[in-house]
Formats: sequence, structure tokens, C-alpha cells
Amino acid sequence: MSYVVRVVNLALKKKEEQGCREIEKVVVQIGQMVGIEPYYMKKYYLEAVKGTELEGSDIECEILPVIAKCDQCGIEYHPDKSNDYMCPGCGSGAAKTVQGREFILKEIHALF
Amino acid sequence: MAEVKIIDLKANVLEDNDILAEKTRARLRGERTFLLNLMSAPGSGKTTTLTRLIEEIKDDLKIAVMEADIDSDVDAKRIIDAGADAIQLHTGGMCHLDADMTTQGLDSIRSRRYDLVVLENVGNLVCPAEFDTGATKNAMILSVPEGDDKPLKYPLMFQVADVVIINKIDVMPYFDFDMEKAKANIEMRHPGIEVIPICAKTGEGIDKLAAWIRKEFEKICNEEEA
Repeated sequence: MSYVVRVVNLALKKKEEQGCREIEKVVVQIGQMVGIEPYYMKKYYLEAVKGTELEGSDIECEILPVIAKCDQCGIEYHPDKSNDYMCPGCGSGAAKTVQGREFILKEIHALF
Repeated sequence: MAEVKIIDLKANVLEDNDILAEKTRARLRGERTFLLNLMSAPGSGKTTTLTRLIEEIKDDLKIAVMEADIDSDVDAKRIIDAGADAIQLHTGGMCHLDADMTTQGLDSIRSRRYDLVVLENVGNLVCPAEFDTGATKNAMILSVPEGDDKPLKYPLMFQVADVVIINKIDVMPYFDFDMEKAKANIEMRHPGIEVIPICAKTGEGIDKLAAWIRKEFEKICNEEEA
């Protein structure tokens, strides 16, 4: 819920800053490690915008897959069940998350 | 008909929270107050661990606890009985605390008066890990009955933690909990992190946790002087 409210507030702020007459759609990017399901994001977004200047607008969610960079050999990989969350290059489990924790308001589709 | 224009923003939605969290950390440095964000699953022993910890260090440090709960004050009473001040932050059903709620809590207890403020987060291994509260350090408790595989299931919680406390080690013989495996799983998620095994019920290991707290508290005192 707090994610949805934050998206709506941020989009309202951007609408004002950019001087848009109307917002048709907002596009968000959600890292795979963030516990947000696009289905619920959309469902609650449509509720949260009621009574605001965003009422009638839609939301589109893009998922950013997890990318890890191995601490040992430096290659980047997608940790998942197929590689047991280990580096496919050297088998190490020590890695930094390069992508997958983001929650970004990517763009707004606006009418002027 | 008006044309739809796409405006590129690439704005971090949690930026306001992250900015406030950084501000909170700066404020706490100025106040010489150490804010510990304590996270765990429900029932892993956060409150019992805190009551033991308070008994161990209350002569050296002035302590307050901010209890995040959906709507009860059971935990706060236990903290006060142990010898610290406590306030209840009713989250009204929210599954985590964010920087804004934390700041409100710090204001209402007047954090400047304390050396150590512990934020007892909502019992949950998912959402609390995603929101920076502005705490100086994050601690998480993993209790033996939960299993040694939890670092694999909740990786983010173990990544954001600065110390992992393994509680209820007295019941280890009755559960399939392998301490070495647990430590290896934690190390995999967060290389180099300190792990402190304790039993809050008997008090075993509380001295080591207290030593960690003292060490971290000294760090912020030295930072402020420097």
C-alpha cells in the first residue's frame, strides 16, 4: 500500500511540475527482489487515484530481473533456481546485487 | 485531438523516504543517540532479547524502546518493567515502519535524552527490509525453530542487517537446525557479517550482544568528536 500511495503522490507532483493537463498512464519499473506484484499494484493504483487528478489514468508495470555481480570472478548473472543462486562461472555465492531492488517511476504519458 | 507525450522521469519512488532516513541519521549523530532497528519474524524473541539486553546495559546507557505494533501495548509494558522507557508506535495495520514514522517516534520520546534507542520493528521478514528507517544500524533475530534455511528464503533481510542474532539456541537439539549451515547461509547472503548466538531465556550470549552494542555506540561518540 505504501508503495502505491508513494507512486500516486510522486506522479501528482510530476504532473504539476511538468504542467500536464491530463495523465493517461504512468509506467513503473519494479525490481524482482522488491515484494510487489504487478497485479496488486494495478488493482490498488486504480483505487488510490480515485478522487485525485490522476483518476482515470492507468498504470503499467515493468519487471527488472535480478542481476548479480560475482565477488570472485566478476561476471554478471541472473541468480535463480537453475543455477542454485550461485555464480555459473565459478560456483561462488558471494555477489553484489546490481539490479533487482529498484522501484522507479519510469515515465508518465501525458496530454497537454 | 491532443497528442500524448511520454515524459521520461526515472524517479526513485522511495527517494523521499531515503532522504528523510539520511536526515534522521545525521540528526542522531548530532544527538549522540544510537538508533538500532531490530527486525525479525513474529515470535522469534525480540522483546525477550531486549529485556535481557536492557538489564545488562542499563547502568551504562540510557535506553528507550519504540515498539511498533499493530494495536497492543503488551510489549511496551515488559520493556518498562525491565528498566527502560518505552513508547508504542501503533502502525494501524502497516507491515513495516518507514523513515517518517520513525522520526515521529524519535520526536515524541525526545531521542536526545537517550544513548540507545531501539526501534522494535513489526514482526515480518519482508517489508521492514525494504524501507530505510534512518537507523544507525540494523539488527535481525533468527530463532532456531524458524530453521537454518531462512537466509536463503529472505535474502534482503540478511543483506540489510549489520548483525544477525541467532536466538533460542537452547532448543537446538530438538530442531533440525545446523548452526554451521545457518552461519554459511548467512555468510553467503552477507559476507563478513557478525553472527551472535544467544538464548534470551537463560541469558546466554547476551554479554556478547551487549559488547556489540557498546562497541557501536562508542563508534558514533568518536565520530561526533572527530
